[in-house]
Amino acid sequence: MKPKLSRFAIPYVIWMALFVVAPIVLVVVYAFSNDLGGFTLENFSKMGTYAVVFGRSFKLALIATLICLVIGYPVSYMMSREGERFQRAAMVLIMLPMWINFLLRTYSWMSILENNGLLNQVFQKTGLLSLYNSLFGTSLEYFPMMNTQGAVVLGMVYNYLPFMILPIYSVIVKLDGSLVEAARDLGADGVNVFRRVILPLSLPGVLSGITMVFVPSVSTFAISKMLGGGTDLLLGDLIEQQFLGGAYNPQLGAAISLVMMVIVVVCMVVMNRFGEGEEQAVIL
Amino acid sequence: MKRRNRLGSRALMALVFLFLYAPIFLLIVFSFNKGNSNIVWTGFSLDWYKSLFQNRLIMRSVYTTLLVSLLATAIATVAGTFAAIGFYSLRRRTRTALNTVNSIPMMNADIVTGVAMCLFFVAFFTFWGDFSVWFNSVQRVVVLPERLTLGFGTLLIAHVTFNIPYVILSVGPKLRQMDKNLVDAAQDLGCTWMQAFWKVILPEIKPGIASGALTAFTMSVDDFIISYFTAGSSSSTLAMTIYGMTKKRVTPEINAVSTLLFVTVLALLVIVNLREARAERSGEERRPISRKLTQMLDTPKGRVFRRGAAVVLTASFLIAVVLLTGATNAQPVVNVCSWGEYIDEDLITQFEEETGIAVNYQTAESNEALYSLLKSGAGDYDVIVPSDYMISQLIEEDMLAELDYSRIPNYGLISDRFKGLTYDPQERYTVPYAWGTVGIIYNTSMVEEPITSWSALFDDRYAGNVLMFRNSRDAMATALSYLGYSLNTTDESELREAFQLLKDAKNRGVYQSFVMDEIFQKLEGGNAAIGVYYAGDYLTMLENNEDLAFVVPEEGSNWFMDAMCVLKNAPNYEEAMAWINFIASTEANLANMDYLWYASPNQEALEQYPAYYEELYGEELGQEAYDIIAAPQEVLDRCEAYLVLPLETRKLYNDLWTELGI
Repeated sequence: MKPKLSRFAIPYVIWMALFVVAPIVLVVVYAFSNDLGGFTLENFSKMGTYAVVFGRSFKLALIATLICLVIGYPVSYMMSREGERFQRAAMVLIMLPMWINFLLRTYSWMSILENNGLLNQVFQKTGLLSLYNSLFGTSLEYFPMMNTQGAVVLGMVYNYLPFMILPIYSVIVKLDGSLVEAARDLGADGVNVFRRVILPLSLPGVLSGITMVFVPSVSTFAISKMLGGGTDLLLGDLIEQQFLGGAYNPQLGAAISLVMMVIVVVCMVVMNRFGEGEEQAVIL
Repeated sequence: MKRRNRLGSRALMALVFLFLYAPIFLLIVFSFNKGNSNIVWTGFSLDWYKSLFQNRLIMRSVYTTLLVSLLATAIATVAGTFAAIGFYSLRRRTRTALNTVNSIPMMNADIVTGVAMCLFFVAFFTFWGDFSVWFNSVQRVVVLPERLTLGFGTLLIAHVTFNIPYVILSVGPKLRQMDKNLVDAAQDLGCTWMQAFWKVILPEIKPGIASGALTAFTMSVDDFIISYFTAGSSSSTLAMTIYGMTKKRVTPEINAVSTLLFVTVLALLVIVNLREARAERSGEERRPISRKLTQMLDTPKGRVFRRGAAVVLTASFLIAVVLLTGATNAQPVVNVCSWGEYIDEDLITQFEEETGIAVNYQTAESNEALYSLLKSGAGDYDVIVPSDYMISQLIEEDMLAELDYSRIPNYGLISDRFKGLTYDPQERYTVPYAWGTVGIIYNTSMVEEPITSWSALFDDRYAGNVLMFRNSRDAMATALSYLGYSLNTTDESELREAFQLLKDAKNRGVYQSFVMDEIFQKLEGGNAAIGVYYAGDYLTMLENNEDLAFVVPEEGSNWFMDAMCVLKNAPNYEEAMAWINFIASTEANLANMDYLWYASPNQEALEQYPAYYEELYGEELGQEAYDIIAAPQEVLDRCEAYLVLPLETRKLYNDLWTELGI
């Protein structure tokens, strides 16, 4: 008698059906209903109005993801070259900031970037500002950094960079060293080893890193509110506004969430075509 | 060559770490600051740490955060490990499908997950309400509670749900790396599957479990958005408390508590790492304690012990859960939702000590946000403090309960001119809380001439230096008032004209940002020249920046009254009455007036305040300041109160407001 291990999955499957699938079904239902509960497509017909918001959010999230990738990949790669103790310490150092709530860390950036903030005070005291003014003939009293799209991107990069580093690192560190040796023995130079062996093998980590940075970036509302000034809405702001903000309309909010979800899923599916199906990267 | 490379790579890593830690370092440094600024260092002190431990709001949210994170991590780790093993032994096709569903909470935007769960819970509660009423009517043996609400339970479910995928994702690959034949071999050799699990599988996947648990715990502590939608009114996590504060001013106590958390985790991780490193150095000889334990548990005696231990563990867990829920149920509570920094917090402590009723105090951003919270079911409060026009709307929608004025003797202290106002003409639903006016606050060192008109808010000269309201009613009111229209107009062309004024100004870059309580930090720090906000808040800002001035524009403005109301079906009606009566007392009104600098509706407090101020601070309260707090009649004459707008106009407001942000 060999009891099947697969029955261990049953409780969680039920749990998922209840708390993962059912809520999402509810969002879909909401998206297709009006405030009296009847069926309607009206929520989607308005979607064209929000194209600008969609565009802006996807643009900023894309930039943030790219920056994270450009910084995160080399860092993960270099980390994996270091000694074991260094690696362990570096991992801890990358996880640790998450223990200070992201709202607080973002708030801290506010006091750094404000017109009268830390950075501008440093610029004033060191004379960098007057140097800039005399070079370009401007008369700035400060560098305007807060409430710009740049600040929002910075907030995204800052908050989600660890989500890029960790999965890439966890894949690279497990790479079979003998593959690299074999490639070298077969005459590949450093660039080729990287391009033809390491890079393709680390792709699952890259893909999962991209997902983990892009999704929260595209849907954030706290960061754009705090660093972006709230004058130009992002998708997250728009959704939050419909559910808990100034313009109560959960049906419209559900519809926007649904459209966003579909776009993200399509992006991910297309992207995952390039990677391997089964081999998912892990965060740690 | 190699060496230089190494130096270069270390330099890059150092830069990345600097980037990651600069804001945290700043935060830690300023937790030791004497003053309450996050920018200006005024000297070393430990005061914030001292006051942290007296701040029950923060301490309670820290407790909730740790409790929910620990419980959710424990449950998710066990459940996730078993689920991963289950998934692993499924056929590939089923597994892929389930893995996809499993990754939904991770792939999905937090805000969608949060919203979806909130909708689900609320829908379930409605269903449960109907079901239990029916069930209780057909039989008498078991009485089901008829009313379920969002709270710690739903918060925990949400956290478990988004934690499990991380555990599965870390355990899954470890299982796949494991030799498949091991389990079969163990079972062929006579192991039961339980033994196979303990002896074979567990040791193989332990690193995966550990890292999954760590990730889950970290995610739980860091989460804000999902908690925000699922925690309801009775429990708030640290992140939610912080969110309430980032709108105004994060008190350095939050810096202090974060520093403590940070240092604790750092110390823990260092210890764990050092031990692991040492264990590695001394070779395989020193087996980890857990391995020893598993071995011990496999002796025949151990098996009995193990069963016993399982029973004891389960029982103690259940008892803990019962005690926890019981402990929170035993003490009477009242759930209050108000605005940020809208109460002297000592009053909460005082009320709790006097009556033994615990106060859950939460804040909403604006009347509209409060309305959304109530409508979505995410906020089931007892007492709320909305403004005049919102009260009318809530009454219209039958959402408020009539008050039992016999339990609120202090209602008699309210000045007659604030009783029976348009929103509650028959005095059935409300007890006034505070009133004030809206006006322009500006930095005299940053503008050329004194400001007297709303035109300053649409003036290109101040481009990039103006702060506008982030709520539709107040923002539109500034434009309507400037154009000479009524603040309560329902005329679409007038509203569109006002909207266009705002939209054009926004497009010309006049507005630095749309703000609510963030305005404090921005005006106090000299980061913006002009803002529009509430009179009382101006005086608070003045304390931190003497260059600020306030004016109620010549065109007129809004005067508002915020009043305490009780929601229909409030679970703690009795406690709500006690709270309202306490807050309506002259002493509480004086304390609040001193803290908020909003005018009290309590006649005695209004009259006594100048004397109270003089006694407290040893200096006279100027007439000018008093007139800003409690606007004199000639100012009130040019102001208009908001009235509730018809549904159609409200929809127009919503549409215009969303359009403004596009």
